[in-house]
Amino acid sequence: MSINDNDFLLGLRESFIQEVHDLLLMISDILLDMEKGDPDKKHLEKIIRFFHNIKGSASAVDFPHLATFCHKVEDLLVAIRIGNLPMCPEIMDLLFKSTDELKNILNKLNSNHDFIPDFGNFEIQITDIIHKNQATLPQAKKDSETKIINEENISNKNLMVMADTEEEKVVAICENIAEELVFVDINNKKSLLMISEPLSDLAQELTEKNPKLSEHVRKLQEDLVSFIMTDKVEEHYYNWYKEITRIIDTFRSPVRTIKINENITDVISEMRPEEEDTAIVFEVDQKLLDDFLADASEQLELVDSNLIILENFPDNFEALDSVFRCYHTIKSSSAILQFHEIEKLSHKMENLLTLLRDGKIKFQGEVEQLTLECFNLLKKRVDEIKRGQVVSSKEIKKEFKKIMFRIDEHQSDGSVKKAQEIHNINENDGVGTKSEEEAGEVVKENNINTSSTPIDNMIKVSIERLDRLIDTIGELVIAESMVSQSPDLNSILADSTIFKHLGHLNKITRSLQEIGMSLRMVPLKQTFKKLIRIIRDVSKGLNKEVNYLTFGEETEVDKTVVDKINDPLVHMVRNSLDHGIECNTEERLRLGKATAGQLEIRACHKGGNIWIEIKDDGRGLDKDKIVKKAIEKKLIKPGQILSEKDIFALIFKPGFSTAEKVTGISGRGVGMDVVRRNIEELHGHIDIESEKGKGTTFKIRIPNTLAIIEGMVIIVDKERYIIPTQYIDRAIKINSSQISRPFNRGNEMVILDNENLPLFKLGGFYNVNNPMKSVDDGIVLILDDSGKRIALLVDQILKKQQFVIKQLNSMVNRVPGISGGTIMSDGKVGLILDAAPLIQGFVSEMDNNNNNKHNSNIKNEITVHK
Amino acid sequence: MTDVDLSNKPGGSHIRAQAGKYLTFRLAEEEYGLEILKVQEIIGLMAVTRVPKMPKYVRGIINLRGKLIPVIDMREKFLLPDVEDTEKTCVIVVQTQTKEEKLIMGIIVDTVSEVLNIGQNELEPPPSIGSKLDTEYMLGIGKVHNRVVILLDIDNVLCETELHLVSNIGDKNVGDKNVNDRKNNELLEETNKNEKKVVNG
Repeated sequence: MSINDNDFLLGLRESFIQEVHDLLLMISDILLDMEKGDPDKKHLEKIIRFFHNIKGSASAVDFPHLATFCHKVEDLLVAIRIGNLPMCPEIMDLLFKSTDELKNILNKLNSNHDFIPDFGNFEIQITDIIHKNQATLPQAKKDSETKIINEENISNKNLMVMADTEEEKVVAICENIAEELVFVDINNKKSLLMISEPLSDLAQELTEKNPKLSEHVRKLQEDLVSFIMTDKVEEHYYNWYKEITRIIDTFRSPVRTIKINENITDVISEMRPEEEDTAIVFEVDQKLLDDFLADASEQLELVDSNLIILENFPDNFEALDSVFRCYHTIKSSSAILQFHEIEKLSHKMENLLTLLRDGKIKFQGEVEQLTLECFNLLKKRVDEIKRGQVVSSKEIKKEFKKIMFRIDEHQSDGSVKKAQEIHNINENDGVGTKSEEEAGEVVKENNINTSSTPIDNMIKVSIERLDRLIDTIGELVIAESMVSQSPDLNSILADSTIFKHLGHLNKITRSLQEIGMSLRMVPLKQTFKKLIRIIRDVSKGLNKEVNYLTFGEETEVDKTVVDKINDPLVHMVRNSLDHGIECNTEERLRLGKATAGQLEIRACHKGGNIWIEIKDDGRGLDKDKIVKKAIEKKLIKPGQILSEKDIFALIFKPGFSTAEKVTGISGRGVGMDVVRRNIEELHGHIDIESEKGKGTTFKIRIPNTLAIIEGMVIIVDKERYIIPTQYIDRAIKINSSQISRPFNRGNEMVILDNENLPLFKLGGFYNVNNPMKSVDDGIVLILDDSGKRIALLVDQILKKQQFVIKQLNSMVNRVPGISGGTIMSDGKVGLILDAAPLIQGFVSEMDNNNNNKHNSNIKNEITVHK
Repeated sequence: MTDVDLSNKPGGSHIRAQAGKYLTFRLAEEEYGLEILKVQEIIGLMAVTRVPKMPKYVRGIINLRGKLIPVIDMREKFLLPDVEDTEKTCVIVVQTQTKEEKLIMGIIVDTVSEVLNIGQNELEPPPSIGSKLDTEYMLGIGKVHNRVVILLDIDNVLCETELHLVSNIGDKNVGDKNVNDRKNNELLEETNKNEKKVVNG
């Protein structure tokens, strides 16, 4: 059982980490929106909800530190919401930092679940901010309070408003407590007592304003404390819940009549204006909704199968755990999309399941019935959402309320009398035919399920399977071309239907190949979001006002490319902000530009490549300054004539920086070098356009995928190799008279019109069986790896073609110059050469030749080449 | 020396082999066996692409349904005399486990014989005194109906191959060399011999 428990917790924690990760992304999105000056209160509420979710789940999976931290953040946010705290940049920064910190902690927790995070610093900061601002605010607050009290006397309506807010506070706090009660370790009295603290605070706060409510709240708190001190927390739980309801009811009664027996959930949901719910839901991203639906259906299916197991084997804890997990997942995902009923019902089910797990109740009779009904209802609701009915229908709403009430009833340790009472009430409501209805619904629902199959439009697949699929497609393409190019076809009459069929086959294979490649594509959205975040942070740090625009964040790129493009983009954005945008606004105004700098990031597809453009409207590159600096750093000689392109290319040289002093953001001359390196690793290219005083544009071109390269097939003896075309400058025929061998050593040189390049013979380097006798027979490729140029002698050049890169087994992947393999059109393996390591390999061999002249190996090699 | 002493000695002559099914194959005059669970499949010899700067026993890379896997020439690996490939020459695709990863590799053998069930009482330890070949490469010896099957520890055979490669690629003069279980001073001699071979060839 204990092992089972551990596994269970582990599983929960993993899903928790994933979930929080997603939530954090959404939080930073919203924060950015808020910072843009969107004053909408909804944003704030959303964030509070998110943090609340994280807090709840964190304590559920036993990350208490995380939970306390979220609680602190929540405190801060709530203070802002109720107006105790004005939103200021300082707080904004703190919120951003908090999300970052959470992200860090998550990463650490991901690798080590026992990691104990230290939020001390943050918590202190948050508390400081809350206190500092509260100290400045009380006067204003008191003013508004007295105003409200005056108004209270004036009209009944105002009283309602007033009561609403206060009660809402009570309800919110109670709800909070109720939730925490579920998660908190029941045996830990101290943490239980901590839960009740907000109530006493509230009672304190309300003493003057609303003594009656205050008294109730205080009583509530006392009750809570007293039941915590007893040993039967679970038992008292329900009573206490009732107490809250009663209190709220007493306050509500003059305004609205609410049936006394209705449970707290009803009260809470009725107190919230329903329109708000729908408004938010409609705003929900369609993708999120799809994800949720796919996920929920999947989870419900799991629940279904596990419930069947439970029906037969009520003591199967594994099945129970699985159901628990499913409901937990459903709960959190529905909370994000604000499907409150689903969230609440799942929560209730969790409570019920906890009792089952602890062996307090048995999975039989009423409990079994309830579980099944609850499952059916959830399914019904999810189907409803699938059909586009975001707001639940009246009947379903009623059913939700009923079932939740029944679950609560059960939790109160099954007091039979009460259950009876409720049944009576239900019947009085005129829903006596409920069970029949239910049966009818189930049948109907089955129909729906069979008729609407294309509901799950999302599926998660492991990369490994995907790669296997793509491999197999690759094989199919080769097999197809072998068939359609088979010489045996020549003996078949041209009007044979086989050619038509082959044409069809060809078409299908092509489209299959395309689909295969598209499976790995992901949008650049996330990358762009990170960039926006960086723009924000850096511009804050530099004290520059910058507006940003992004275009084409939906552009799809291969997953591997997305992972690698991030770093260079970050560096470039930082550079544009630091060097590009002018420091003082006067300079900008003088040049007729707006005070705020403008940064644009665009992405698009063009001809098998992705183009990413980073454009600023800053001061532009200063050619004279660059040249001066380059001469200073001895990167170029004075008097050297350079084209504009050459000058701009200088900024990518390692160690080059025009910054006067090194700052935290740039100036060391490392950044742009990194950019160039990374882009080259991606087989990409970078261009700069700049005009002094107007701004700079960086244009990056990267191939759509890392999985495919364009390469030249070359032949050495009988072996074929592929050289990526990006490294090939040109190919020329030379004769022996152009070769010179200085100092009569092994190293040869090709004398060309405008340059002298070291000559390398691939055949000799790779020890082929019959290396070429004379350079006149072969052809020379000029390879260029960012300035390092060599002449490579090969026997023949065959053709240019696209190749799918395949990883080499670790046994053979350390050969100098070989970066990978590919499958050629005839199904055989071809090796891909990489210029940089190839050049490196040659150079080290050259050094080797020079240093070990006595080595017989070298002498022998020379004879071979002769 | 008692049996107990021997089995305690690491690399000593205790039986590491377990009773069960073995795939047997021939190499020169001897019959060898591989644990059946290590074997993924058996394929005919197909076009092999040579990888330069690799020892001779690495025949090259083949395309196994879209995956590139290296193939090892077992004759070269065990320093047996070269023969021409025949119709019966085939590649046994094995899954090996090194310390860090799982590798799929092919081994080229003269011919595959059968799947043999070897019982516990048919297993015998390798010779107690011998070179590394005898001790580390062998799980044991199977004696079934007067036949002798050498049971290979394929993980050790291939994993060692890999380790050896890693240490040598950094070396400056890796050509086509056979350096297996010789000590360092022998290694130098061997290198020179091989290089002469290259020149002559």
